[in-house]
Amino acid sequence: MQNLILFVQRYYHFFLFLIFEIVSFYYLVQSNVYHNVTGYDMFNQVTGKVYQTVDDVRSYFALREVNEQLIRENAMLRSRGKSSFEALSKDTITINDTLYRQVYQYIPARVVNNSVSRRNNYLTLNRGTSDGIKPGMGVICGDGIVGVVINVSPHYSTAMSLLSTKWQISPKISDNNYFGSLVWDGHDPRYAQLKEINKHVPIKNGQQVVTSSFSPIFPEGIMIGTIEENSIEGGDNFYKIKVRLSTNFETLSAVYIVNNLMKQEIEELESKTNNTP
Amino acid sequence: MIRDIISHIIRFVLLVLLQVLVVNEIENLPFFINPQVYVLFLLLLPINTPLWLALILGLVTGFTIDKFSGTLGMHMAASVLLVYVRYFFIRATTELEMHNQPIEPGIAQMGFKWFLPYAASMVLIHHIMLFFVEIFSFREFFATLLRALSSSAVTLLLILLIQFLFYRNSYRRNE
Repeated sequence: MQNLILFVQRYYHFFLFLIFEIVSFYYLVQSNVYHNVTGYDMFNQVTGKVYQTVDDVRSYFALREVNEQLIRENAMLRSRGKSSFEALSKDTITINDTLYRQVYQYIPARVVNNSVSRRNNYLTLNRGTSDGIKPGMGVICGDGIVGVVINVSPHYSTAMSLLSTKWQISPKISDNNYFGSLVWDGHDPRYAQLKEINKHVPIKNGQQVVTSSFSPIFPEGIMIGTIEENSIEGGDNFYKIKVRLSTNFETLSAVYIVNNLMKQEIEELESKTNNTP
Repeated sequence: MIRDIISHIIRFVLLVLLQVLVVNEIENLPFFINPQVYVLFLLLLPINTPLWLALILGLVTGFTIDKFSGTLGMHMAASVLLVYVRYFFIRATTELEMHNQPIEPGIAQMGFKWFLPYAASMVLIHHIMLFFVEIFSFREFFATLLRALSSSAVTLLLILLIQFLFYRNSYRRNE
């Protein structure tokens, strides 16, 4: 308080000057129409600017909320859009042939989630138990094999992608029917490694690698990829083959789930055989 | 002392009348020149006038002129500013021992060499304030500035003229 009094004492001339100027401007604006109007105009501009700024700042803080609102609205609109409906008809393709017994059934599905960047990649497909999907079914697409279904919910299923270090299949080289073992090393989603091909087997780059008949998951002859590089390291009995996968996992969208109608029968028979004393 | 006060009051009345009845009646000057002779009264306030009193006198002078010309506030603002700046100008440009003496800072006592820059700068500050307050915006900045400059020149001329005409005697007496 004392400081305040000292301050006022010290600068009272300035305060007097200020007060007189304020009085002058007060009279100016009060009694002159022109200055009144101009002054109010100016004042309005200033207050307008201030409110504008405050509003700008406030709207910045409200952005999160506005975003959430928009997302909600977007989701609502999206869920009304055509793409969010799937045909109710279970377009399972079944061919009745009297000469051939049908072994495989194809169920079209759409990839709703996918990854290629992890060590073990999974796909989510929009078909589930209500479409007759069971764990262990194969997944293929127009270009080649994709993976195998591992988990199923009523309307969705997850499939382990070929791009998974946990999983390996036994393909064959289509020209000579030698089969090996295909694994993915977890690095490049465009390439996989074919192993266990003996060194006496003639291998040429560009040869196609397809599924063999050994696996009940996939039909025989489904494209996997083409041989890009092959080599035999010194003292090794097996080729080291780099296979360029025909399926582009990064743009995967429409796939087919393969239902082997005979799979259960095959598996039962095999387990019976294995358990025979 | 009383004589001084009376002479200041007479000067005040005469200058206000001159301003209101003569100078303000001169219209149609180029650049809308509008000289303000009455500032001479404020310029000639004694050096030892306390600032608060000078500020009040500035306010009253401006108010009087405003009342006559129907422009309440304009001359008040300009005159108060003039008086405020004047105080510091005089403090900065005169000897310390003069600050407490009842010296009229006119040509008669301070000399032409000191008075001209003093009057010129004070008049200029007053006029710039006055004309910008009158326009009340910076929209036509240079037009207003030109008006303030030309009016200041004319005001300064009139002030010097009045000084030489009416204070010639005292001016000579001091020499």
